[in-house]
Amino acid sequence: MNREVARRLFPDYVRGALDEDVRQRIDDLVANDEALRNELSRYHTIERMAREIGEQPVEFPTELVDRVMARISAEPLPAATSPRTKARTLLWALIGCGVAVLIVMVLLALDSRAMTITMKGTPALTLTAAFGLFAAYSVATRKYRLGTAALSVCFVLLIVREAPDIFEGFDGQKRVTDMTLPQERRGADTDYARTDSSKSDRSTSPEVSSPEMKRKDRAQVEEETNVPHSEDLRAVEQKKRESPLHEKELSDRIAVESDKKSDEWGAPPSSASPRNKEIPDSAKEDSAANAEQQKSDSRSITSPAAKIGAQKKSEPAPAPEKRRHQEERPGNKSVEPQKPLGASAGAAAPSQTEDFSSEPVLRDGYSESNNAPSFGGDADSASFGAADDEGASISAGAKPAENGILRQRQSASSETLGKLQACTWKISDQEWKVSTTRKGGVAIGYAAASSPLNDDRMLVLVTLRLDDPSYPRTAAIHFESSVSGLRLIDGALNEARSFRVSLQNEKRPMTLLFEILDEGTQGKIATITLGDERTADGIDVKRSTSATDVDEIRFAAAVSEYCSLLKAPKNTSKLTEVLSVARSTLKSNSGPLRSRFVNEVAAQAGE
Amino acid sequence: MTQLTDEDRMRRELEIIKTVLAGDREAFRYFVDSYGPMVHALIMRQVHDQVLAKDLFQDVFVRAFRSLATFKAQAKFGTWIARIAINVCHSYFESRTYKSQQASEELSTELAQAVAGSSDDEQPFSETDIETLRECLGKLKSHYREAVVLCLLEQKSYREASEILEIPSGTIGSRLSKALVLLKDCFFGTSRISKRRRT
Repeated sequence: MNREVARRLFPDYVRGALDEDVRQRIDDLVANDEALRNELSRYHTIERMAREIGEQPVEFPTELVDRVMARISAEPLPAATSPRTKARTLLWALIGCGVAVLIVMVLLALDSRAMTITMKGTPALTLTAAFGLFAAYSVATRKYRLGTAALSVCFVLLIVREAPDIFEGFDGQKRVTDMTLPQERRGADTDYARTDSSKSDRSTSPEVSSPEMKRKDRAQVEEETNVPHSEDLRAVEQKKRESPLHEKELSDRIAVESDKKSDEWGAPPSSASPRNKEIPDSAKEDSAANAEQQKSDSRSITSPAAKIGAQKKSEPAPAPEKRRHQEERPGNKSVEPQKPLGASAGAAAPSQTEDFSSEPVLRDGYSESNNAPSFGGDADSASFGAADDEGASISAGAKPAENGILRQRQSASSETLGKLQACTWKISDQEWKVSTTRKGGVAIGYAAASSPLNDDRMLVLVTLRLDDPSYPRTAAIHFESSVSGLRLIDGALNEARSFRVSLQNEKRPMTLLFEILDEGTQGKIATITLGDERTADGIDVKRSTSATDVDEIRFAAAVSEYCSLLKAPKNTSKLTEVLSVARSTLKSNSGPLRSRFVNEVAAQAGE
Repeated sequence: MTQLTDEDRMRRELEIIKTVLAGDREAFRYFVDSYGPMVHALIMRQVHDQVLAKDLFQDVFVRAFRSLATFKAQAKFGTWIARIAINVCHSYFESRTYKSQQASEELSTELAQAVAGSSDDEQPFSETDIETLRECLGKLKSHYREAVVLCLLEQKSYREASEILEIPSGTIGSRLSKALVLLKDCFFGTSRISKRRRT
């Protein structure tokens, strides 16, 4: 034993907690060491003084008894309580669960979007259950601080709209539940049918969560979408990566082109363009009819072409056909349903919601058609129909300004603005496929408009909604891309090659905003493959327009342009254009996020 | 008067508790009479302030009265009420009132020591030394102070102390050892006796 060890043991030595042999060794050491002896004597002094203090009598003031009794006489009688039994603990746990569920239900009622808020693939329901259990545990064990903390976190997760980055896709209308960058998901994307499907099914519906169902769905999806095995897909992915046309090149190319076209910003699509020429009259009639019908609606839907045109720098003359229809149709006149896709309209039940009340219904022809029947009669206008692989397809290459824009309260701007820092999206050369593990009953709408900032880009708005109350409340849809020049303007402004989307029946539609390059995008831009049990309702195809949507598209374009500029050398003139668009849309739909965006751009532009 | 065994005492106390719970508040006087001195001493040895000790004493018994229904006779009533006293003192030392008061007292102590200068009191364990040690005791963290008060001052066994504090006996021992180190450093660092003994 050395001196240091002995010193450390002094307190134990003094209080008599050491074994006899240890005490003896310390005694030996101390006997020969003056310093240690002094140190030990100090401990003894303290110990003796403490005992002396303890031995000093403390006088008890007897009047204290009376004072206490006086206070007690004013106290209410203590209620006799029985000690908490296991049954009572269980009861409290149940009550805690009930309270947690009640709170969550109230939150959900307050914000129906709460169901779709996720934490990187973790469904909100799972989070809610976890926090509910925490709450129950805290109530049962009377650790209320834990319960309060858990419920607070739950509340924040379910309510906060400007969620941190871990909540990618957290927004109101886009039920994007798992969105990751392609670099992160090189492997996972290819076997989306296996991984994402199972995740989604777990999170959305117990019906699909059974292993049999999952296997069935996986097989179904792979079969219907002709998706090869994941190994094959990985090989394809590798090939694509090795191909000379990289994503970065494409991105740079777009940036260069957008700069070149900067002086053409806002220019409307030329009526002499091939696309425009190919738009048949019937399509224009439908578009105008929809516009008129929407005008009569309480949500103030107006002609898209007029709105877009009004917002562009050079005002194009409205198409004669369209103007004629606008004049002919009275404001409140209901619009004739359009032709159902690939099947008779009679079998289709009209949508129950006002948004799509006058629109045709795609029925089982959806699965029968091998050609893509055009919506509006022209495949070159934004067409819609069944795909070759028994799916529906959204075709693009439409004349942007004259195609309808979905009547949809779109918050693309707010969701993009919430994550402006994440301007990392790239161009994908992948085709976007949309497939669902659910049966039919999904209403699909789309709209396209030329980018207000670049004529060589087109913005496409796609709306999906579960449209049949007989279907399960939620369904997951899987997206996979492979169209050249298509990128998703999502909440995080990421290019997401594979992600899951949850649709809620009879709830607000999910809206996706895509941007595509005009060049070479004449065909379908997305394939929608539904489940095996297609019903007579099929797919409900809608097309309508609202001024708000036009603004939103314009604004989203401005945001996306701004994001591109952030990566490129500063281009003040371009920033000024972006600022101009942002300000013009700010007038019609102001909000803090928009204001913030405008301020940011203004700061960038040096204003 | 014959000395009651622990078991008899416990049985009797349970009966008194039932009486109190039935509405006879005056029966509670038994507990104040029986355990008052012990509780008061326990409090006094921690706070060293007669006025404050009286207040805390009342708080202890009022709290005990309110919680009387939860007394499960798993421990002695004395242990139970000592635990309440420790908790009440702990709450006081954690309170803002105490902390602000302590800051001003430290200042006045330093001032007093400076003024006292070299007026030595040669007696070991003089009142000054005792008072210095009390001050050092007051500066200890609650859990160390509680261990010292119970085991050194009140001379309770580790087992009793562990029942009152609801911690294992080993923890009591280690806290006591640490408290001794802290007290020694405090006492010989601040007291005049330390200077004398160092020389």
